[in-house]
Parts: sequence; structure tokens; C-alpha cells
Amino acid sequence: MTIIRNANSEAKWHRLDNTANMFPVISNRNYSSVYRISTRLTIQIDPILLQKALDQTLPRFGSFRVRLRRGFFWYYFEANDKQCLIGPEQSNPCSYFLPAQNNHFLFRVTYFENRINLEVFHVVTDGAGAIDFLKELVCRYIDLVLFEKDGTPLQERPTVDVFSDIEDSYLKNFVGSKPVGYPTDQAFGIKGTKLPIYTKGVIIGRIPIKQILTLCRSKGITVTQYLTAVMIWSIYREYLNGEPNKEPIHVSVPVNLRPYFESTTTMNFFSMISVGLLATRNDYTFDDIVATVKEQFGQKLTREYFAAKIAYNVSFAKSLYVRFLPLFIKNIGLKITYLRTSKSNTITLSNIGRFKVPERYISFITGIELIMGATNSEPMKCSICSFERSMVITFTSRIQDTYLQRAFFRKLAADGINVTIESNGAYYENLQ
Amino acid sequence: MRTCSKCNVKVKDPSLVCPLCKGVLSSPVGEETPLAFPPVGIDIKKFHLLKRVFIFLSIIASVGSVAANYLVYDGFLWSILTVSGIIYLWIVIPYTVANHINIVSKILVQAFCGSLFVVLIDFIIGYRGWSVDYVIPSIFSASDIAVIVVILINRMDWRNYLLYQFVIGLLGFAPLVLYLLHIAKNPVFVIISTSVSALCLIGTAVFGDKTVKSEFKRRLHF
Repeated sequence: MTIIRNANSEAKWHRLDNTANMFPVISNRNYSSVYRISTRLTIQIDPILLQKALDQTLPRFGSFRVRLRRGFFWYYFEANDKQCLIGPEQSNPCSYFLPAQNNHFLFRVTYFENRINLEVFHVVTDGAGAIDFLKELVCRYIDLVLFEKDGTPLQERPTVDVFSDIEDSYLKNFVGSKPVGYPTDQAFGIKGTKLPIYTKGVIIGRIPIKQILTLCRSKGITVTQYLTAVMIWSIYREYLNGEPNKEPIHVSVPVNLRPYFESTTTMNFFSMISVGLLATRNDYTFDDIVATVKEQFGQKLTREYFAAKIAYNVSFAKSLYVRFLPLFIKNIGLKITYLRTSKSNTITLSNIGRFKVPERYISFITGIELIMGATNSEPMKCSICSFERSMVITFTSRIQDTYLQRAFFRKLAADGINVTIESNGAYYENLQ
Repeated sequence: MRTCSKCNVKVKDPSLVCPLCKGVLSSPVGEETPLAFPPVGIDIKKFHLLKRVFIFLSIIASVGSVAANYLVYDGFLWSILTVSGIIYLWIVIPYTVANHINIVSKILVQAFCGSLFVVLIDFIIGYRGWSVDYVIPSIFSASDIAVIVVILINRMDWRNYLLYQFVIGLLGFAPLVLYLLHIAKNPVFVIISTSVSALCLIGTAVFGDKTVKSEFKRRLHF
């Protein structure tokens, strides 16, 4: 498909959403702000068909078909009419995007054996936005494969409800709530010998959804609450040795705000809640931790709480003084803010929920996984997603030892859940 | 699939040990599944030899000149010049040789940092004002002309240069400001720099077509 460009047409552009302004500033080779969602199929990936599927999918997603530009006061997105090229998977997932790589697109589509990976620079959208793009891409790819094989007609009905809604839902839902900022106190940080430079260790645990749902129902909590409690428990047992510590364990949990504000935006619209434990005794039981996690979720997962967070983000960007500062000065401010808040975070635990595709595609897909880039300041991240009957918990780490992952999965196994482990091989390097 | 009896999990990797606890796995049942990831590699760019050689030479040169200056000290701290030159090199040159950076933005960074650097040199060797009188106006006049050459050669990309061109144009008025503040003394160079910059900005406004103007709107949105 060739796109004819009108020489006189003015390039289309739109602003970044309110949160996205952060990502170009804090990203570098060490912290890429890139996450990856992959689907594994029952068939080997054919690069030619995958490229074709991408060429046909991308024009519909205006929020992905952009490049990042630097203005005098703000960054902005400009429509990108070039072709986005797919490529084979590189050795380290979620690596940094050099600005001029791949015709300036802010995402990558790669493949490995029977897997399609979508790597997205967070400036474009959050997990909820990316999962829709991946869904459309994978379904289109399966359609093309079927068409090649036996001429099954292509489906014209898209699999997603909204392609491109470039609304800044932060601004849209800004009301004059009293702003609530992010915590800046020093949290307990996970330390250890680092893996070789740029190397990330990935450990994937697959569990049956049915087992974990039954377990959570019996405790009267949600799956995210349970996994957050297991995370805090594992850190408390493994790193604090069950002893009191003056630095609290803070698990930061990203929350998709679309359901709270009835938004359908395909740009970023998420916030973070921080759930934690300040260990003052040495006799916490797992049930104590479950209780405090449940209580904190109850307090924070409310529309009012997020309205206050939005007010904090937006009130800055709306201030005239801030708006007229040159971009490079704004960026220094953002970087300082980021460094102040990132130290109050022990680990991030992100659950992007279920990957749902129409019935006819299910038999072609064997699984999904979400990987987040780990950083030197926050060396471990945990990401969760699910497809059909299995839930996938991925740990990405910059650290050589696997104490936390071990404690986490052992706790799941001890609670009667069948865990299947897979890794990217980074932890075997020393053994071979 | 093999199992780890200590962790009580199944392990899918083609490995003899558990990735969680490094314990030996139970004997395999069924066939081996290959690793689901490409081999983990280390990015060797980080260990660039040439860069290390330059770092080594820079340190030797800095330490050497400070030592020589100390040993044969005659009241003049010339080693500050060499050391600041080397620091300038390390800060500004990587930006200029990086190949993904807008060429006009490189001109801007060089002009700006270069101006600061000549003022520093002027101060180190006893301030006589030659940096603000002659060098800075010349740097900005030359930058304006360089930008025009770049635009003429690469007319299609003009809109990408616009923002930096605008900033260089504005900085071209710095000598005028310095003159009005009685810091710069030589009116000839001030007049040259100011008029070249003014001509560039006026020229852009007159010759820039609709794309250039809409680009301006985007780049300066607030």
C-alpha cells in the first residue's frame, strides 16, 4: 500500500497526554520506559504476513502512527506516514528506542519462533491501549494466515471497540479537587549484584486462573490484592528476614483509570496507588498482610482518590508559569520530581488483566505475556496478565539472585497453586 | 516437564537446575522444550576501545598539565585552560558527532557552549573583553549563515530546522543586549551580528510558506 502525500498538506499533530510528558525525560539506555506484550501462537510466525498485518492495522490506530517532536515549550506527536518495519526479536526485551530507529515510530513489532511481540514506549499509551493494538494486529495476522492457507475470507469487522481516541482524559476529567501528590519518603530498596550491563533476567510463572480465583474468593479478596500481599510477604520474609525495618515496603500498583471515568482514550490514562507495610514487629502473619493490603486497596481505589491524583498532575501543567518555561527547564523539573518519587517505591506490580479475542481466534493463541523494563533504581518489576485459563506472572530483574522470585512462587505453590516456571536463560549464564 | 522438588514448581526450560533456587531438577519426563527466548547477549558497544583510549589520554593530559603548571609555576594558571578545554571536548563533542541529532541543533549547541567557553578563557587569561567584543558576535553571525546554507542545501527539511534556527536568530541579538548593558564595546561587530540575525528572522517570515508557518505554530504551542 502506498500512501500519497500531498505536498501542501500540513502535518497533523496532537499534544502528549498529561502523564506522557514524563517519559521522554526519564528514559535512557538504562531505563527505557518500554514494556512488551507478546502473544504466542500455535503456528510459526511468517515475517511477510506479519508485516502485511501491521501495514493494514497501523493506519487505523492514529495514536500509534506518530513520531515524537520537540517543541519550544512542550513535546508533541506528529503524524508519521512512513512504514513501520517488523524485525526478529533481539536478545534483551524492552530495550531503549533510539529516536531515529525504525522511521521514528515509538513502538516495535518483533517476532521469535511462534511469538509476536509488541514493544511500546510508554509515551504512546499504557497497557490498556497497547493491548487493543496487539489484539487487532494478531487477529489480522491470523486472518491473513487463514486466507493464504485456504482462502478463508478476511474479517472486516474490527476486534476492538475504539481504534483511536486521542483525548487527554487527565485534562478532560480534571475538576478542582484538592491535589494529592505522590509519596517521596525513602522506601526499602531491593539490592544485589547486578546482571551484566543491559541484561535483564526474566522469569515467567504460569498458573491456572481457576485455582487462584477459588483461593481469592475463599479469602474474600481480589487477585491483584492477593498477589500484592504475596509480594509484600515475600519481601518481608526474604529481605527483611521477618524483622522490623524503618524503611517501609512499598508496592506500587498502576491502575487503569478508564473504568473510573468512563473514558475510551487510546492514550495514557492510568494512575498509581502505593500499597505497603511498615514492619514494626517481627510476627506478622500472611493473613495480617492480606488484611492491611485489602484495607489500603479499599481506601485508595476510589474515584475521589484518583480525582485528587489527576488534580495534582494537571494543576502543574495548567499553571501559566509552567507552561511558558522552555522545555529543557521543564524537563529538569520533571527529572527531579521523578527521582524524588522513585525512591519511595520498592517494586511495581502491574496487572493489565485479561486478553480477550473473538471466539474464532482463540484456538490459534496459546498464551500471552507482559514484560516491563527494570531499572537500576528499581531493579525488579512484576507484571501480570491472563488469557483464557491461565494467568502469567512475569518478573523482570536487573539483579543476579532470584530470592524474591523464589519466595514469591514458593508461596503460591504452598497455597496450593500449580506453578510452571520459564525463564529467558539469563540466570544460567554462569552455569554453562 | 521437569520439576523442582524444593520450590514445588514445574520448570519448562531445557535446564538441569531450577532458575529459582539453582537446585537440581528431577529427571526429565517427555521431550525437551527449547528456550523460548533468543540467547542472552551483552551489548559490547559499552566497552568501546576507542572511547577508553580517549578517556585515558584525556586523564594523562589533564594530570600532566596540572603537574607541569605546578612545577614551573610563574604566576599564570594556564593548566585551567587545558583542563577546561578537555572537559569542553567531552561535553560538547559527543553531541556533535552523534548521528541522529538535528544538524541545526548541533550548530546551536556549539554556538552557545562555544560562546560560554571563550568568555571563560577571556576571564582566565585576564579579562580584556575580546570574547564579547569580537568572538561572540562572530560566532552568531557565522551560525546564522551556516543555518542558511544548511536550509538551502536541504530545502525539504526546513521545517525540522525551524525551531533551532529561531533560537539561533534570537541569540544573535545577545551582542546588542551586551552592548546596551555596556559590557560589549565594539559597535561594528554588534551591528553585523544584529543585522544578520534580523535578516534571517525576517527572511524566514517572508519566504517561509504555509508549512513553515504551521510548523512554527506546532513548535511554539504552549
